[in-house]
Amino acid sequence: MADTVLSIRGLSVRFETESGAVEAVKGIDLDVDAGETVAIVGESGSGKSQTMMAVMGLLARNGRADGSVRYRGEEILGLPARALNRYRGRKITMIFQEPMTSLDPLYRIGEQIAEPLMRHAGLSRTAARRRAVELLDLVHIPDPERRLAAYPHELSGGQRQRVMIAMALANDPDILIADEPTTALDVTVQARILELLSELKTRLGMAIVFITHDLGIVRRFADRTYVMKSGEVVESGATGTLFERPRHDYTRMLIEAEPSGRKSPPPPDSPTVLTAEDVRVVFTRHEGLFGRRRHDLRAVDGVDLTVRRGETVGVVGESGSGKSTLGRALLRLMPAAGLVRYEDRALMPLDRAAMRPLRRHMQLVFQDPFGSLSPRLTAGEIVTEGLLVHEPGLTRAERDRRAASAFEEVWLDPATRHRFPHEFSGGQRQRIAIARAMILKPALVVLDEPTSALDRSVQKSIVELLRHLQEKHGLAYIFISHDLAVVRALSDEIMVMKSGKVVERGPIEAIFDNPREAYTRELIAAAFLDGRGVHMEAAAGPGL
Amino acid sequence: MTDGTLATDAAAAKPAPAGHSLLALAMRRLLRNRAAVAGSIVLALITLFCVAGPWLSPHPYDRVYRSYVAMPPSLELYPKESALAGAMGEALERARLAMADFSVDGDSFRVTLRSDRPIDPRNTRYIERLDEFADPRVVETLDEGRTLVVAGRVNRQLFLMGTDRSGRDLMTRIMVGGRISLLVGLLATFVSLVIGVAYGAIAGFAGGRVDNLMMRFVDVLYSLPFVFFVILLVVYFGRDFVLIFVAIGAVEWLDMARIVRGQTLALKRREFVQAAEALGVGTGGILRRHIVPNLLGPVVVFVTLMVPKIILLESFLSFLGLGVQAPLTSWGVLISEGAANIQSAPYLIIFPSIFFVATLFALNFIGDGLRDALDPRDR
Amino acid sequence: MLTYTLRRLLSAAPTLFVIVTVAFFLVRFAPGGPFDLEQPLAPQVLDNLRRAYSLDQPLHVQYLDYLGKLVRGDFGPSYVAIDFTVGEMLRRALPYSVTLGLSALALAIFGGVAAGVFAALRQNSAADYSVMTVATVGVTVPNFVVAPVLQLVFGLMLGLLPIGGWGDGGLAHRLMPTVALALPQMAVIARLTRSSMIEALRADHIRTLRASGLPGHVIIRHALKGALLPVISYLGPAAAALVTGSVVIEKIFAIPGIGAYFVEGALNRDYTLVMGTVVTLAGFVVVFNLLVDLAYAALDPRVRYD
Repeated sequence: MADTVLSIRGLSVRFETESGAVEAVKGIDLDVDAGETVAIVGESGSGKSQTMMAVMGLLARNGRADGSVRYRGEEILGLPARALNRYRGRKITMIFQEPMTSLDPLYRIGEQIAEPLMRHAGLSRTAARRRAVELLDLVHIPDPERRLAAYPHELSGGQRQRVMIAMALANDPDILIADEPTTALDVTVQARILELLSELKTRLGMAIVFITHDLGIVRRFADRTYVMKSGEVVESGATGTLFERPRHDYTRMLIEAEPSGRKSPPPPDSPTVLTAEDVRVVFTRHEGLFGRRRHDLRAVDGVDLTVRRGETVGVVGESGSGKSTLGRALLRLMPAAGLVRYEDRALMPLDRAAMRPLRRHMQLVFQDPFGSLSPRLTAGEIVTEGLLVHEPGLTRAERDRRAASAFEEVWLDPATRHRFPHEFSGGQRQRIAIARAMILKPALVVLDEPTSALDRSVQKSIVELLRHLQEKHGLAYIFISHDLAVVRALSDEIMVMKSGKVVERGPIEAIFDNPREAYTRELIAAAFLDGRGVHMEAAAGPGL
Repeated sequence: MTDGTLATDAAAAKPAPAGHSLLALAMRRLLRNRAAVAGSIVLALITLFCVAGPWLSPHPYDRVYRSYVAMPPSLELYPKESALAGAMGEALERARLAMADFSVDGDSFRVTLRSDRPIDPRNTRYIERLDEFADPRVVETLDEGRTLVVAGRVNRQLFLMGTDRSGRDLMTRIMVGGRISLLVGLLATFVSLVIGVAYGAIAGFAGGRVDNLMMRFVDVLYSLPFVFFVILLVVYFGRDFVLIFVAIGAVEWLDMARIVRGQTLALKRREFVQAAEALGVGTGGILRRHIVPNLLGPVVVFVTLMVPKIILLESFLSFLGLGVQAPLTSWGVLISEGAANIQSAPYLIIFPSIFFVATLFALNFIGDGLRDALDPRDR
Repeated sequence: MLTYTLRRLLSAAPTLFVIVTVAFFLVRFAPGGPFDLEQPLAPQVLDNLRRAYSLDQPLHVQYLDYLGKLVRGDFGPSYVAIDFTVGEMLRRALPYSVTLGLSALALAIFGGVAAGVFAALRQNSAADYSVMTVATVGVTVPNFVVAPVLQLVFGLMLGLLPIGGWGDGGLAHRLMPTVALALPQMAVIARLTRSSMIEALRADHIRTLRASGLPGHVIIRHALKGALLPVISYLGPAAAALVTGSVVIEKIFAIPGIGAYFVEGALNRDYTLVMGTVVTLAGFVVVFNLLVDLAYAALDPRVRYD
C-alpha cells in the first residue's frame, strides 16, 4: 500500500450566517497517497472547495471545521496559524481559481515568489532570486529574468496562473491542491496549464488534489476521483472504473450531463433571416500626454454572416476574439460599419427610434444570468418588459397571462413569476432571460454564451430547452460560445473568430472532422483533450 | 432530465415564499440593526421636540427676562422666595417709593407702598415690568393716596435648562435653533441632491467626451478650499438665511454628482440595461425602470450621511459668527455662545451640544445602518 | 511615471488659475469696499485712496495687474493694515499655520491608521467596538466643541496646559490646538483604514499568502499596503478639511495664523489680504493634492499606465 500523505476523517464544515448555520461539508472521509492525483468533482455548492479550504486553514471567519485532517499522521486541523505554517506553503500548497486577483497587485512577481522562499527555506535575497528564476523557467515563462520585475497586471491570465504554480512549487511540496485552476482561463490556455501540471507532477512527484467541475479534466488526469454532492461524498474510486460503471445516480447524471446529441438541420429551402456583410467595429483610445496618440482596436474586422430560419450559426473564439462584440453589432446595440439586413430591411441606416419596432424580431440572451435581470423587478415584470414596448395595448391581466405561459414555455413553474431574481438559481434565471426574449416571438435570437456561467447539468437542460424552442418556433440562432462541446450540440454551421476576423467557417461536421486552421485545431484539441469523444460513445446509451 | 428541477443550487432546494423584494429584505436588515433603530427613534424625538416644542413652551424664544440673566438650569420655579423681597425693593427704589410691608402667600403677593406725596397708581407698572410679578393692582388707598396697598400674582416660571447671557430661555432657544439647523440641513441637502443627481446622471448617462469634460470640471472644483468661498459669499452678500443653504448646497453637490455618475456608469454597463435596450425600451423607460430605482439606494444612504455634514457646516459658519442672525438662532450659534462663556456658565455649551451631537450621531447611525442594509456585502 | 507626473502637474496649474480668478471676481463684485468706514470719507480722499490702490482702473486691468504681480510673488499692499504688504503679513502668519497644520496632519494620519489597523485586526471584538465608538464620536463632534472642552478640562480645571496663545511655540502651547484640529480627521482616517483593511485582509491575494504559510506580520504588511491606497486618496480632502478647521482652531486658541487673517480680512473687506490668504491656502491644498496623487501612483503600479 502506498503511503498516505493526507488523510481526512469525518470532516465537517459549518458556516454561521444571518439565516442560521449552514453545513457546507457533512463529515467526509478522503485520502491522498503520495504522488497520486486525486480529483474532487462536484457542481457549485457541493462543498468541494470548502473541504480543501478547511485543510489549509483558510475558511472564512464565520466558518468552523470539525473532524480530523492528518498530514503523514500528524493532526493539522485546528492548529493555530503559526503551527500550521510548518505545513502550509512547505508540505501542502494550493493554487486558486482566480489568477487575476490571487497575486498582490502592488508587488513585483519576483518579490512575491521570493517571499516564501526566504521565509521557509531561509534563502538569502540573491539565492531566492536565483531560485525564482528557476521556478519561472520551470513553469515555462519566457525570459524569466526580466519577468521578475513585472507587476501582475502586466501578465496575462495564463501567465499569472503559471506564476501561482511557481509559488506553490517553491518549497517542493508533497501535496499541491488545485482549486479549479483553469476555469477562469480560455480553453487553449487551459490546455497548456493542464499540460504543465501533469508535466510537473511527473518531474517532481508530488500528489495533486484537483478540485473541479469539469469531468474532462478528471478523466484525463485523476488516478482516483471523489464525487461530492451537497457536502457529502456520494461515490469514490479509481477514475476509470468510476466513469465506466458509475454506481450512484448523481455520478451517472453528471456524466450524462455532458451536452450531447445534434440538432437536425433546417429544411434546405428555409428563408434567410439575417445577412451581414463586412461588419466592422473599431474602438479608438487616446493615449499619451495630450491624448494625441490614437490607438485603434479592430474588435470586429470585416465579418460576413448569413443565418436562415431554423438554423444555428455557432460563433466560436476565445475572450477578446470579438465574438460578443459581433453579436451586439448585428443587433445594432453598438456602433458598427458594414451592411446588416434583417429579412429585406437594411439595418445600418436606421436610427434608435426606427430600430425600436424591429427589436421584437431580434432578441439577445446574455451570459451572466445574475447580471442580466434587474434586481428590483419581479420575474414576471422582467419577462413582460418587452410587451410594454411592443404591445402597449395589453392590460395588466393580459400581460400577466402572457408571463405565465412564457414561464411554462421555458419549463418554469408559472407560480414563481412574482418572485424576484435573487430567489432563483442560476439555471432558473437563465430560463427567465430566455422567456424574456421568447415572449416577443422573435425570428432571430443572439445567444451570447448562455450556458457558460452554469453547472454542466444545468447547461444540458438549457441546451435542450433552446433546441426545443428552435424546433417549435423555427427560430434562427446565432450562438456565441467558447465551449465547443455546447456549440457542437446546437449548431449547423460554425465560424471560428480570432482577433476580430473569421479564420475558418463551415458546416459543423466538416469543422470538427477536418479543421483546416491551426487555431481551430488547437481549440478543438483543447476542448476535447479529455477524449470526450471517446466517452460520449460510452455514455450515449440510455436516455439520449 | 429535461425539467427545471435539475438545478442543484440551495436557492432552488428550499422554495422561498413569493415576492421578497430587495427593499423588503433591506428593511428587515435595517430593523435588526439596533444602532440604526435607536438613531431613528432619537432623531424622531428630537425633531418632534424642536418642531412642536416652541408652541408648547411658555417662553417665546426671543423674550428677554432681565431678572433671570444666565440662570443655571433648575427644576425649581423662578423666582426663588428669598429673592422676591429684594426684587420688589429694587423696583420700588426705581419708582422712588418706600416699601412698608411685603408678604407672599402662595402665588399672590401684597405690598404696601409709602411716599411723602400722593402716589400715582400708574407706578404699579414699575412692578409689572419685573419678570417676577404680574397683574399688580391697587387694592387699597390710604393716607390720601400716600399709602397704597398693591396686590398681584407672583409670576412663577420654569427654566429647565437655564437662561442665556441675555436672559432668554435656553430650552426654547435650543428648540428654535434645532428647527433652523435641521431645516438648513434638509434644504441644503435637497439643493445638493437636485444639482448632484442631475449633473451626475447626465454625465454618467451621456458618457464619453461629455462625461470626461463634466467630471474634469468637478475635479477642479474639488480641489478648491470651497468653504472659503462660502465664507466670502456670506460675508459679502450678507447673512441671508436662504443664501446660507444655497451656498452650502452648492458646495456639497460635488460628492453627490460623483457618486451618482459612478453608479449610473456602472448601471449602464450592467447587462439588464443592455437587455432592456435590446427589447427596444427607450431612453426614458430605461431611466425610469432601471437606472433610477437602482440609484435610489446609494443616494438615500448618501443623503442621510450628508444631512449631518451640512448641519456641521452650518454650525461651523455660525460659530465664526457668519450664520443666522439674532434673535434667530441655530445650534451652531448656541454652541458658539456657550464656548464663549464656558467658564462662568458651562451649561450653555453642554445642553446645545447634547442635542447637536445626539442628532449627528442618530443621522450617522441611520446612514451606516442603511448602507449596511442596502449593501450587505460587508456582513 | 514621468508622463503621469507631467500630466498631474499640468492639471494643477489651471486649478490654481481658476481659484485666483474666482476669488478675485467674487471679492470685487461684492457690495461694499475696504474704505466704507462708519464715518464716510470725503469724496476727494476716497478718490485719492482709490487711485493709490489702482481701484479706479477698469476691472480687467486690475485683474491682469494682479495676476502679473502674483506670478512675481507680490500679493500687493493691504488695504486696511496700512504700511504692511500682504506678503509680509502672510510671511509672519505662515509659520504658525504650517506648524499647526502639518503636525495635525501627521497626528491624524499616524493616529488614524494605527487605530484603524488595530481595530481591523480585532474585528468585532470589544477593542474594535470601543475604538470605533471613539472614532464615531470624533467624526460627529465638531472641533469647535472639542476645543473649548479641552480648554475647560486641561487648561482651567486641571491647569496642565495654557488655554491659548502660541507662547514660544513649545509643545505645551501646541498640544491642545493640534489635537483639537487633528481629531476629526484622525477619526475619519481610522474608520476608513479599518474598513479598507478588513477588505484587504479578505482579498484573494492575501489568501495566497496564507496558503503559502507566511507569518502574520508579512500578511499584515501586504494587506496594509493595499489598505493604505484609499487612505492616501482621502488625504487630499483631509488636508482641505484641516485648512478649514484651522480657521476655527486659530480663533479659539488665539493663534495669529493665516486662518485668523482670512476671517479678519473678509470682515474688513481687505481685498488683497483675502486674496492673499485664499491663494496661499488654496495653493497649499492644490500642491498637497498633487503630492498625494504622485504618492498614490508610486504605490500602485496600475495607476501609472492610465
